[in-house]
Amino acid sequence: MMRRLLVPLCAVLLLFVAVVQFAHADTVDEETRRIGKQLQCPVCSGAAVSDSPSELAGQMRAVIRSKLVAGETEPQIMTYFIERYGDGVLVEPPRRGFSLLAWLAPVVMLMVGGVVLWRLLSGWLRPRWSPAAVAPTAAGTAQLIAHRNGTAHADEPPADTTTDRARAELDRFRREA
Amino acid sequence: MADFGHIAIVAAFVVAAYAAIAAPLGVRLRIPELVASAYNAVLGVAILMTVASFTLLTGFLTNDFSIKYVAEHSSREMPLSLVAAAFYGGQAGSLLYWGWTLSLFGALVAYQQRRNDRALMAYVHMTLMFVMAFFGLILGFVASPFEKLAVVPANGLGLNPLLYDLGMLYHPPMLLAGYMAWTIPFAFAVGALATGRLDAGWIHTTRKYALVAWGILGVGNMLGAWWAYRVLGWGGYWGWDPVENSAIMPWLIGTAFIHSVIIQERRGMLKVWNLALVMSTFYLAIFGTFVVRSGVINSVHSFAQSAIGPYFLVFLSMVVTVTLGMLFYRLPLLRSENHLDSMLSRESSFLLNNLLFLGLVFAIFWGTIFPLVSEAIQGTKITVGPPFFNQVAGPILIALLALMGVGPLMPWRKGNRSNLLNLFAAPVAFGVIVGILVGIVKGFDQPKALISFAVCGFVTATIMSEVVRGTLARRQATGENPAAALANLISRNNRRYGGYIVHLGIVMIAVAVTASSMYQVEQMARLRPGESISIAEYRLTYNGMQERAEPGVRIIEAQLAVESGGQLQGLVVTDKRFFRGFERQPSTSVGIRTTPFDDLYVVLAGWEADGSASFMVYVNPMVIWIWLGGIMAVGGGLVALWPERRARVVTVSAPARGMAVGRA
Repeated sequence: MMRRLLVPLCAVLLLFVAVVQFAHADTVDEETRRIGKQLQCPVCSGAAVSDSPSELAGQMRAVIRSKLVAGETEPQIMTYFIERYGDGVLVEPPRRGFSLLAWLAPVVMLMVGGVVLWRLLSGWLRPRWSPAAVAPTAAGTAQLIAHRNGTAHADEPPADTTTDRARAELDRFRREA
Repeated sequence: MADFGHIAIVAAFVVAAYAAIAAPLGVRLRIPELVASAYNAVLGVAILMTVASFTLLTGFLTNDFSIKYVAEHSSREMPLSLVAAAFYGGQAGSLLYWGWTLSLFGALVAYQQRRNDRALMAYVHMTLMFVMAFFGLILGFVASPFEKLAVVPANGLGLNPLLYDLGMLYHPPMLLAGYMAWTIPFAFAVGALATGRLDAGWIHTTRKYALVAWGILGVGNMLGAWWAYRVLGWGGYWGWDPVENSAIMPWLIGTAFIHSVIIQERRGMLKVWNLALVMSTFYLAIFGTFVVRSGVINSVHSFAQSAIGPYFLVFLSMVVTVTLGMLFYRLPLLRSENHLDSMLSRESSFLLNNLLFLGLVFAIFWGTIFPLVSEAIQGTKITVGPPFFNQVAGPILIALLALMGVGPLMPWRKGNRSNLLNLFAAPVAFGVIVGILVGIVKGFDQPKALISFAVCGFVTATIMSEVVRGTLARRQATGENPAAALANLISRNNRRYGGYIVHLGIVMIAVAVTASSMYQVEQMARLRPGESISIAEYRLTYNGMQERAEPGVRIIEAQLAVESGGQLQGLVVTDKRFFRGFERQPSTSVGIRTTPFDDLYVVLAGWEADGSASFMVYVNPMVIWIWLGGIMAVGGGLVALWPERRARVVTVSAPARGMAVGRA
């Protein structure tokens, strides 16, 4: 009698454990993944611990999981891995110390580039008050007509006519004067 | 047999070196015979390199394992297509392929431009043949593909399992050819510097070559992404791997170049800048080859490493020093009439485009070499992984995308503020609406994605409004039906509208990349046969596993049934392949089911003796649109390349008004 009961009892118990485990595992799984995504698999190129099929990555995932189960928090686990493997275990450079340069240099370069470009463009700008710039030219008139008719393309600059060149000469003369 | 190939390469080296010296000498000393002989030498090199390449190919096709390179990269079990592709499956062979295509392109250019300015062409030949001679030197004396084995093995080692894929047939040849093809615009730049003829002439000649090189390199990158997506099995298509980065950098600078040459063509501005851009593109292409080959930076492409790195470094520094020296020497000639009428103009938006592209390339370059910098300076190896690049490159890419909508509507010379407001009001509104609509459907918790979609909407609206406005104007002017008006509009302004088509392709890619990276769903599951999981709208049931063998490979294959909306959609099969000789390094075939909305992406991660298996399952939204966008961009490139019609002005007289209808 006992024996007959034992099997279903065990089965139910196992199922219960499995269900609890599964329900619990779900969130641990997610957290393991989130932490694993921030860690670089040390033996593979370009794969995070969460995505790598390598053995070591598997072990690291297991470590993360057991630490989570033991109640450790994400920062604690990250610190553990950084202490063991160094900063290189992080998938992105840490935002402190020398590695801050990795983040700052592109931004600084872009800003410097922006300033250089602005100054360059300002230097190339024709003086705005030049009356010649608004003087009617043949090319300008043609463009105006084309524009009114909707056939002009913004792509077509007016041909570099003699008037244009004369205007440039005039500008230069003015600036030097 | 192998000796024959070796002799051909050494001969090619000698002839190329001769041509590189004879061509400029003939011009300097005014000996036309010498110039003509250099021209013949260029064609001769192409023949010699072709002979060498066919010798190696024959070695592969006849399983001639006495050649070390063949024995290391091929085996009797490999399908014929892969045996042929194994040609460029390793170091020496890929360099031979580089050199061979360079010799062919060199000969083609020499022939096409045989009536072009003799002095210019002499220096173009000099440059091409100098690069050629470098490859001849490497192939002949350092990394020969024709090295022989003392003992001939019965069978070869076979290709690296990662390369055992359809992608192998397309990606490496395209990418290498893309690198190589930038040599040609570079050679013209050097020619222009050497002769001092720095007007727009060399730009006109090289525009098509640059566009072709840009297209090939772009397609090569795209195919790499496609291959990585199908084979590497981590759910993505772009991993910011150092080799990927070195392949995208020349393409980005090349993109900046094909935009900024337009200013030089139209306005005679930016002469130095364009030379610098085309030169940098070439430097980066060589740098890319160096990174792939040297293994200084850890990468998924590390199967192609060797000791030739230093040669590339020396070559690169020589080329950089000499050509930069030439650029500085010619600076006085390059003072151009740089006048700008307004900050609000097409010119300035092109320059902003250049700034952003350069900033992007700097960020990628910096991220790629930062591990080396960090190790050299503070002694710790730092990882610069995808999150870094996504965070740094992401905003720049969005800005570039937005500029793609702004630039084409900016008039040349001077924009009128209120006019522009009118022009942009509707597209901006459209973009904002798109962003909000997506937010309502998908939630507002991913603001970056919404901004990206809004910008994509804005760009699409500006391009469409341009096309519609042009078509209507043409229809009004000629009375054609809308379809004919559109077709003629495109064919008469093929460069402009080809560009728009490329832009639309890029928008498609941007939408798909945003969707697939921001809204990816992933799940790890361990299933027994008969069990199932649900992910997104799919329900997957694991049917079981089977093992089968193909020549030289053992395959463990898992099968899953896919249901969605309560209906069986079909089967997904994913497997691990254990190649003979690479048993510890199984390769993965990802099971992918593609719909216009998303890709179901299933990777077999492992299995147990009890028949249960673990899977990584991803649902990647809209990935197919990346490839379609790529195809569209290629189509646009072809439209832009189409031979231009003769410039002509058709004047249609209509009552009370005269009208100039579109210059071709």
